[in-house]
Amino acid sequence: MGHSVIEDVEDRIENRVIRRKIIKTDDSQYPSGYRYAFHYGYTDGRGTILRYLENLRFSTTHRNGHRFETTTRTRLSVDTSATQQTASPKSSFQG
Amino acid sequence: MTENTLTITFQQAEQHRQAARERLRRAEAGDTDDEVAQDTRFIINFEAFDDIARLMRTSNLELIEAIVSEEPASIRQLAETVDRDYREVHRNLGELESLGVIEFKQEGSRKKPILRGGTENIDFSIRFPRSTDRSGVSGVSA
Repeated sequence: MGHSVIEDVEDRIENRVIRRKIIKTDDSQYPSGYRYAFHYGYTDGRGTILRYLENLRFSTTHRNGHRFETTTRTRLSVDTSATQQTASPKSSFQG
Repeated sequence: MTENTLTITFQQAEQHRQAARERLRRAEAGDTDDEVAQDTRFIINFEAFDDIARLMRTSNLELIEAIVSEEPASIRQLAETVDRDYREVHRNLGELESLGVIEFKQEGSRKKPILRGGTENIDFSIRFPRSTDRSGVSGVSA
């Protein structure tokens, strides 16, 4: 099974962190031929705000001192087809 | 062929994006995996002078060099390698971790400091004047 990293870049803009990763793959699990991940967050304690891993979108909100992560399944240009909300103490990008 | 290198750049975000777009275009056109792969395994691009200044402090560069060259098995071993106080080394490593340049690998009770993403070496690319011309950017290839 072959794969090639087309992009793996992290931009650090003061306390903001933006990471993009695109992998070209011949794995049949990824019929588009690509895997991708995107991370947007902060290093000042707010943590991850938004990340995508393949067709999953994870977004984080803070309410009453608690951190909530929302996971949304996306398909091409369609926004959402299912939403599941869970409380999460921490999230991080696994590159 | 992708080198197992962590590339550090300064204010080259647009150049990296352009280069990646071009590689993606070539991948779509059917170029081989080797031809479309990023030159180095991982790139961190800083946009603020303060971050680069923190990274480039002598105390931090000494630690980075020792991590790459000596591969210390723990923070304490690294402190012995550079002959510095453990607490000071610990604080500096925390700063390098927050900059995204190093991470820790847990090995039993020890935390081994390594370059981010398990890269084996590090390359700094700081270029003036800043240019949006991708062809003239060191360390970035299409």
